[in-house]
Amino acid sequence: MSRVRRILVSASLLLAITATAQDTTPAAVSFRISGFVLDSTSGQPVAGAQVVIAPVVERGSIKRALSAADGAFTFDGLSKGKYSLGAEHRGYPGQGYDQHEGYATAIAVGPGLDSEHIVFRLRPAGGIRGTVTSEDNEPIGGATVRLFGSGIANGEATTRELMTVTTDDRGLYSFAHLADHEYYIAVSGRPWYANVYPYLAITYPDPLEAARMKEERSRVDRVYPLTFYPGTFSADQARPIRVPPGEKVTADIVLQSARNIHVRISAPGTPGSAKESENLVISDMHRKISFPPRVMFYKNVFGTLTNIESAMTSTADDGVYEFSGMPAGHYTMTLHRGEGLRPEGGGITQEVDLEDGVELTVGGGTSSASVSGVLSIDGQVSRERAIVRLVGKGIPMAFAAEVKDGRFEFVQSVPPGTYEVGLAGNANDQYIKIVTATGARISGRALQVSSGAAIKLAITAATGMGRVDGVALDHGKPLAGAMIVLVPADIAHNATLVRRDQSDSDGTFTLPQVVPGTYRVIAIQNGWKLPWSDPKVLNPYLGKATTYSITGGNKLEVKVEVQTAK
Amino acid sequence: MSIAHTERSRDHSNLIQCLITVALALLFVPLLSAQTNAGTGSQIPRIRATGRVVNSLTGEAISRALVMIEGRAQRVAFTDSEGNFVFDDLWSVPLVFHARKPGFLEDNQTVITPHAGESITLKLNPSALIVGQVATDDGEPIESASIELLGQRVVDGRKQWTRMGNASTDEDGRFRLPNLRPGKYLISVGPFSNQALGQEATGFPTTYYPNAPDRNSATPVQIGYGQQVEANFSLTAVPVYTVMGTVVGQLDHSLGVTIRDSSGQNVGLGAAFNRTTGQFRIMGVPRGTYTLQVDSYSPSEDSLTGRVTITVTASQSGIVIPLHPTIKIPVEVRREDVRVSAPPEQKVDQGIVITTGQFGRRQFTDPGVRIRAVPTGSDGQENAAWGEPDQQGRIFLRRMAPGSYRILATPVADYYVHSVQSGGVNLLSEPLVISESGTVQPIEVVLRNDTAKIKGTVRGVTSSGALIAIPSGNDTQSPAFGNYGEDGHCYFPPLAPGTYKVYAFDHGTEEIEYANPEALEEYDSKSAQVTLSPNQTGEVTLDVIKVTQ
Repeated sequence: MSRVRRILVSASLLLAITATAQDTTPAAVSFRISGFVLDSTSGQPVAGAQVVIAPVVERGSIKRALSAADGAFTFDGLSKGKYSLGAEHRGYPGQGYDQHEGYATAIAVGPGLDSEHIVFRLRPAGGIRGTVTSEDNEPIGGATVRLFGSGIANGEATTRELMTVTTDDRGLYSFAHLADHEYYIAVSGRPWYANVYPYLAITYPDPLEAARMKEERSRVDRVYPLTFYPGTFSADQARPIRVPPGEKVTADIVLQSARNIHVRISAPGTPGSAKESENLVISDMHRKISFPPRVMFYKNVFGTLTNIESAMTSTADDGVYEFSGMPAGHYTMTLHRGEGLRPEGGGITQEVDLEDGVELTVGGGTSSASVSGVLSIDGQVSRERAIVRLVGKGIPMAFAAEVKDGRFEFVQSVPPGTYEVGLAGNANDQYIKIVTATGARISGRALQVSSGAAIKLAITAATGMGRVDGVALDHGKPLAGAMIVLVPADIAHNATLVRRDQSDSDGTFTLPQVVPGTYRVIAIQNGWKLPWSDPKVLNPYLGKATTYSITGGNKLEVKVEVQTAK
Repeated sequence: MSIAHTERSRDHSNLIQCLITVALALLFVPLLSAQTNAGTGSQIPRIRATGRVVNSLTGEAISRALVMIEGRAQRVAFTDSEGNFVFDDLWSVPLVFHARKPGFLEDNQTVITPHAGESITLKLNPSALIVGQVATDDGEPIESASIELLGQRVVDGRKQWTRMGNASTDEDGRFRLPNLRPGKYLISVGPFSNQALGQEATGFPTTYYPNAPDRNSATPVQIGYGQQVEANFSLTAVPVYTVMGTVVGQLDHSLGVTIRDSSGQNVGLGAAFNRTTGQFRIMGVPRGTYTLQVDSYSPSEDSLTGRVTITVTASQSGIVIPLHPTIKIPVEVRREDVRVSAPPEQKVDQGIVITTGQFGRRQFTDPGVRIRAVPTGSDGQENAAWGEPDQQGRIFLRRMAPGSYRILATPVADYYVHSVQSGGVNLLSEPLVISESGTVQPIEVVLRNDTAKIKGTVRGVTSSGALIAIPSGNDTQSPAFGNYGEDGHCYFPPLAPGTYKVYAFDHGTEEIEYANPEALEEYDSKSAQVTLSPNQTGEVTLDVIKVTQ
């Protein structure tokens, strides 16, 4: 059993790997881990790779070695136990042995265990680079380039934004250290000539001159809409980019500029409006400061709301604000009132079709909900510091509230949607037994937040989770590298109860911090690409699985016959 | 040598220079508006203005450059493939022309009166570029290394190294610093460490090109218009250490810990700081002497500060940084209206000022003077404390620490700074010294309105330019800044009585070391001296000094 929690890649070295609970029993006899580091693509030896091992129960006790010219590496003098194994080399990002997502196969050493014929197939990193140019064939510097990656994450097939870079003065961008996946590229920005009137705003008495000025300004008041490779405004029509291991793929994009729209938004309760007093704060004893609303515009990209850069270009004393920096189109708009980046005044979400000159009065959309509640642990008011989290599907941010004296309140209001309720912070040994809610529907831990609701949660938690230790067997023989899944009843509403692992070199695994309940354990060979969060996907494997009842504080030992991914 | 001086409100930036130029052109707006509104049409002819944008070095035409006009008209046009541009129906009056194009500097704004049949040539200066690679001494490229670019900028009349840009190396260790003006630059990389758990820590301290530990021993990179210079770094790893300790005192969320070198520069190593327990940890610190500094960034009046000097030769823990309240100095402003018949519109009013911007609407009382305290030996910008008014118009220098400061006062409108004193010390010629006990007397600023004026003409001008009046034999006043138009007429704001040497430059004064007498010596032959009595106007005739490269 080994669970990779963290891969730290520094300028010179990989550092891995931690695990849950597995004894490393000292013994008089010492053991060895040895093998070869090979390029996963070519099969050629990788010389000079940094190879590290660490006991899974003692993360800081790290040993290092450099692979030889033939890729060979050796660690001598080891005690019986399990060791996380990782490697790194220039052009090969830090990775655990046979790593999948955040899991890797640990090496078990001891009597009768073969730990000396390891073949570490190091996956070389790929990359995407390209040039962003305008319709006039000029390089576009300063454009925002977003990288989206497709794959299975937590059992769900998703395409999500991974990182953002900015093009240089030549219009070049580069994404390095990419794994063998499918990717999408999207670019947006503003032309270099777009912001030529930042300071002066002169009203001319001559209508001819004023009209000419307006017309000429419109020629340079342009934006580059969010454009997906190879040149479409629709994410559905974006072309995936496959990055083979070790290869640099070129993806050049030509952007077509569009008119920059200016929209005026009136928001009750903002400075200058009739309800301005709702929004005023006194930040210090000298100055009275009131804050404008924080308005964000989003596009739905691959099922997730993606922020489209915009700017408040004009403020007014009448509570009406002008925003610009985006092309016409459909947006999800959110508005928060409050002090700067702390939108304590509540939020509003509204679907809007924007075009130049449109005036919007915020209202009629959905309002974020206020969420508060109480947390009891083992029937007592929680005195420990804990964090209650709400994680929503397709919502770009998670929400968190700190528990104090058993009570919590989310500072940020929560947009409508479905959220999974969870505990975090110092509450590792605590688990949620029951959640009840007023002002919202809840099934299991899935909370349905509706517009403008005032939701009170009552979370009953307990301490003492269980643990499952086991071995994955293939026709009676231990099998390394299988995906182990602990499946709760009603997985659709209890996804946070799922535990996973990857079987180690001796076929063993550990599933820690199991919330008491009824589960089945399955082991799937080559199952890492299964979207297991969909109950239908796991159903074919559950028929052969045994049902276990797991109680708090107990350890269950199981044997699981490996099934092959269908 | 003057330690303290007054300053006229002028920021030496391209923006201000541009705005001044535009303001000159706008002087014509009321005139034209009146003429246009006269009924029968403007007496000023409308013409078709044509021109060309070229590379100042090669003379080559620049296609698809943006040509902008500001002032009487706000117009834009792109050049065609031959670099030509056209503006129809343009008034033949002084207008601000400038052009833009990526790869060229935006330093070409100029006031031109377009005439029919005359082609305008706008020259764009190509920008310079520094490229390079950062690698270890065994040739391994270093990715994500922080590059900092320092350029020379005139601050308070003297050249100082100022941060001009930054970059980060890519996966091949390469970096680019584009869009640079000609001049001297220092380039630094780091610091960073490759400290990993369980590994003996090594790292790379801040290194200045080519391989110097500090600014003083660095070699500046000299670049000219359109040049590309390569600056590569080969870094040798050194042992680095971890420094840990506790901040003791009233902790709040706004506190931050920085580590500074002996010159006061932030070393750039991040500090992990627990604002609840006060514990801090800084990793990757090379050998050396440093100051650990804790500051509160809260706008509250009870700001705290603390600092401890340490010498690092090994990892160390148990360092204690006590917090102390910062010092608050009241500034009393007194205005002496000694002018016999001051026009009402020129009177400074302590009115309520409301500003509305991106970060909200602020309301405060205008005190009539801006004041700042600059640590002696500092560059005048980064560590300055600004006087902050309260709603009653009282000014305070807040968040001050023991030390020595230059006090700089900027009056507004038709006043000059007559005196600045604290406990009998003339702060126009002596520093303000705050003792370790924090005891300091209030600062008294006296403003007077018996100002003088300079009128004059600049000979040999082809376009607008900048003026400087340097106080002569009087170190209690600071230089005054003005400008002249295309017709050579001078404009200065009201200034303090006294004797001045006046200089006229063909370009902005951003790069003129006006506070350095040696730097001004070469221009003395074209300066004019004028003595101004209270309420009087002096006249000068100047020859233009050409400094444009």
